[in-house]
Amino acid sequence: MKRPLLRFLLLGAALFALDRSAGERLRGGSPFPPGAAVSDDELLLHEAFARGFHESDSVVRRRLAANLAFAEGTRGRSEAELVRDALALGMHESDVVVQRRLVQKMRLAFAGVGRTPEPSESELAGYLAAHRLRWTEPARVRATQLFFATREGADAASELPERPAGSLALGDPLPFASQLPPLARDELARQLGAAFAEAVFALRAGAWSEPIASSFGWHRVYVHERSAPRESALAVVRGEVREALLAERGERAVRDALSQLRARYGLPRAPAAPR
Amino acid sequence: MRVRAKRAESRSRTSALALALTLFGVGAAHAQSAATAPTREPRWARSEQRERCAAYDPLRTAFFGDTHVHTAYSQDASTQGTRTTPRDAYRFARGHAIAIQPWRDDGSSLRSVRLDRPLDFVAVTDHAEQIGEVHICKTPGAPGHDALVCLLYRAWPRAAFFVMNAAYASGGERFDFCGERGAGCLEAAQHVWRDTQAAAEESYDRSAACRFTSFVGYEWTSGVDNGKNLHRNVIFRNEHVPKLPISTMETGPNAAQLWQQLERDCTKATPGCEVLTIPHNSNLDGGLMFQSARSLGGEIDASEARERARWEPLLEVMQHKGDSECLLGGDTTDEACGFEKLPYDNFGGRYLERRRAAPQRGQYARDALKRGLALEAEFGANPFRFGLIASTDTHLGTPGLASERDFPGHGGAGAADASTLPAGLPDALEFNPGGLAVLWAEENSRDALFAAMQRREAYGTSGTRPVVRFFGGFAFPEDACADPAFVATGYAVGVPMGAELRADARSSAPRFAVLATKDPGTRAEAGLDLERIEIVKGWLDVKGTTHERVTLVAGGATGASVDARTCRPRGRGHARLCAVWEDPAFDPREHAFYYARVLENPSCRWSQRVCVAKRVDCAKPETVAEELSACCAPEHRPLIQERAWTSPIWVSPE
Repeated sequence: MKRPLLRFLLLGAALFALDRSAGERLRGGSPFPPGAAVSDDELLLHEAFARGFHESDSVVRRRLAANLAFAEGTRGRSEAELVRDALALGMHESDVVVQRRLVQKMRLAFAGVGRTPEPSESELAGYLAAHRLRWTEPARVRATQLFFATREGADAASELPERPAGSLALGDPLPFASQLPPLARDELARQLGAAFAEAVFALRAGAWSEPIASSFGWHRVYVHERSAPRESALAVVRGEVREALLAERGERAVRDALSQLRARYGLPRAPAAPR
Repeated sequence: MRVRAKRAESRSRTSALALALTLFGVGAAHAQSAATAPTREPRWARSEQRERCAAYDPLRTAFFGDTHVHTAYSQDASTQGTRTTPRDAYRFARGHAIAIQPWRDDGSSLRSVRLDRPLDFVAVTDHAEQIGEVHICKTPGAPGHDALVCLLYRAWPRAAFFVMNAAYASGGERFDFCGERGAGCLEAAQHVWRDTQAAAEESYDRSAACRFTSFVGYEWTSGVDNGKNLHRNVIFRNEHVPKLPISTMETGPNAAQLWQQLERDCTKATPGCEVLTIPHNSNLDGGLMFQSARSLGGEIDASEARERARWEPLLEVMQHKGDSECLLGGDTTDEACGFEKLPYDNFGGRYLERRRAAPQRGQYARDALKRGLALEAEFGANPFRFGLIASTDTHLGTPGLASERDFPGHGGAGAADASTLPAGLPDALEFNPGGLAVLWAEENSRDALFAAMQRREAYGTSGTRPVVRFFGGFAFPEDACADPAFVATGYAVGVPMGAELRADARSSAPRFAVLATKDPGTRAEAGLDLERIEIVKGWLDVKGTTHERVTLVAGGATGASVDARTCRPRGRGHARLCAVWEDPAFDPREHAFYYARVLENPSCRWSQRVCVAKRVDCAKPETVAEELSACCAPEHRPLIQERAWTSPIWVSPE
């Protein structure tokens, strides 16, 4: 008898499959005991098996063939034969990489990637309105800064105009203008350093600051105005809104599909993920 | 308003006058080039529908970006395991984290990267060659998907890289699976090109905030003799672009053919379409880049000189595959030229010993700038009147990832699919993280940035973010470095980097004013101090001989250094440097160019940082694992001096 161990294993696997199938029938079609705590990933994996993804997915097939070839050697078998034998041995049910791949593939299938209908203008506008904070322009500060190479220079600059207008011929030169355009905190940080940006955003408008250090020296800063965070118009953030809406729909489709599976199998909600 | 000192008072008047002259576009110097002076309203036309930027500065702002970025749509990137799409690349540039190779079997990645400072602008420039073929090989069900080449592509991508390139380099015929006249691959290319445009559009901030600008672009990848690179990045001004990127399959190896077809398909056939091309990696051109673009190795004539000057306002002087500024030898005795040099003169030399030849000075920007002066004297047009920028040439789809710190390599680093990270260096020893392009523009919009590229008001950095102004003029005040309105004065009485001064027989010697501030750094890592500023002059004497000279104009040896064993900096440099320099050897009959080079204090190169992190001590062989032997190789340069190169200012006789 050729390869008795393999035949034994194949027979065992067949009996196991038969047993599971009979069990499912006896439990009214559910592969899980009623009320069992089954995670989303376990459900997704079960569904992937039920749809035969483990037999059709090329990554899973390569992995199974490689696993069996490692365990037994190829013994002249083609990749298709190795996959067939690995499946018969149930290797797809024990390999963590295969399981991760199948769970991911099932999620994508439920999310309907590539099949989701294009959102309408009103849907995009509604989504933007419901997520205003995400597409809000950050607070900005418009300021005039005077640069001094030394702290002494900044301290000595006592006679500053009450309300600076236009370019001021005071202090030492920098390669950028003394009048700063309205800048968000991160933009100011990129130009003059993070600590400087923090200090400027803490200033009150309408007065000259005490000397503030930057990466280059010292500054006296006059904040003209601050703009509050502002909502963006759909026309200018349409691409990002569309991307987010489609992603959210995909996630919702996955959640709905999982709920239906739980209802079908009589399972409670997914156990909370460990913190 | 009262100011305290008399000097300040007079300076104030001068500055206010300068500002007024500047803003109303009245150049004070007879040599002022009107096209470069800033005005309250931009000189460039608005070519697109968008909100006006809230931040509009007539004296211009430095915007940092990357004009050379490859994603999974490029054949060479995808065969290194890159899965980043143009959308991902733009997201990354705006500050989001993305996953990069190596990948596990289940599709998750072992590494992710994020910029510590977002970029202001980016052009994704995937190779036009084979974008359709790659798409077919990756798309199940596409006609041709099961072709032998595609099977190889999927099963053994690194081998496919060589096979696919070799097949296309040899004859210019598309693969059989592309169908009749390549129609299948062209159709697939159109799909990819449309997606590239859509990604750029979705990423472009058309709001008044103007936080990010994307450009539609691609790379035209001409390689002669299997590795002499004549590559150009093609950058479009706005969303009006041709239906397909024009590749070397359509043009052959000469850039003049590319320009002709761009003229036909963009400038003439597509309303609103404007375009320029940026050559790069002349250090790998095998000596061909700065010869004729009409016939390989041929001479440049007057009409080509004019054509080239029009199409190519910028040169990418430094990137992932090395520096192209200058090479020591001949009259180049400038020690700072010994920076990020590749040891071969063409890309074939990377893979084949027999293809290795020593680099020649004629491949480098400085030599080309000098030859351009001679050609200008002969033809009245300078084919090499290019400004300087730098970029990354990332093949991970990670624009602006140019820091020496935590450099993940720009290719797959030999581990596209792996369960563990590569144990050795993440990239070939001679490569580097690349640089950044900086544009002086009134606002962060496509029109403003494109205009900055065209007028060459640009500079490149080796990856850090110093800010540099460079002006030249005949009436520049000697005390400009004490003038708080330095910038306004610069525009009012001179011209900025990238522009031209015209000298007549009565002209006095020009003065050049340069002001630089150090990279302010981030919370995680302070920026490096500056060490010095040099002005590089090249000129053509009245006998027709070219020369060059490098002059230290600000700062100098500070004694600052870095401990190569720990990578900790020692000593201080300068937070800011400024100089006004008058050329003592100026002759108004001569053609000349001047550019500024700003050097930072020395720091550890990316490779040395890896070696230090892995506790390699070259004096103790037991600490040098085999995969880290490059740390102790004789060619390993543990330290670098980060730097910025401004575009030149040219001085020409009337």
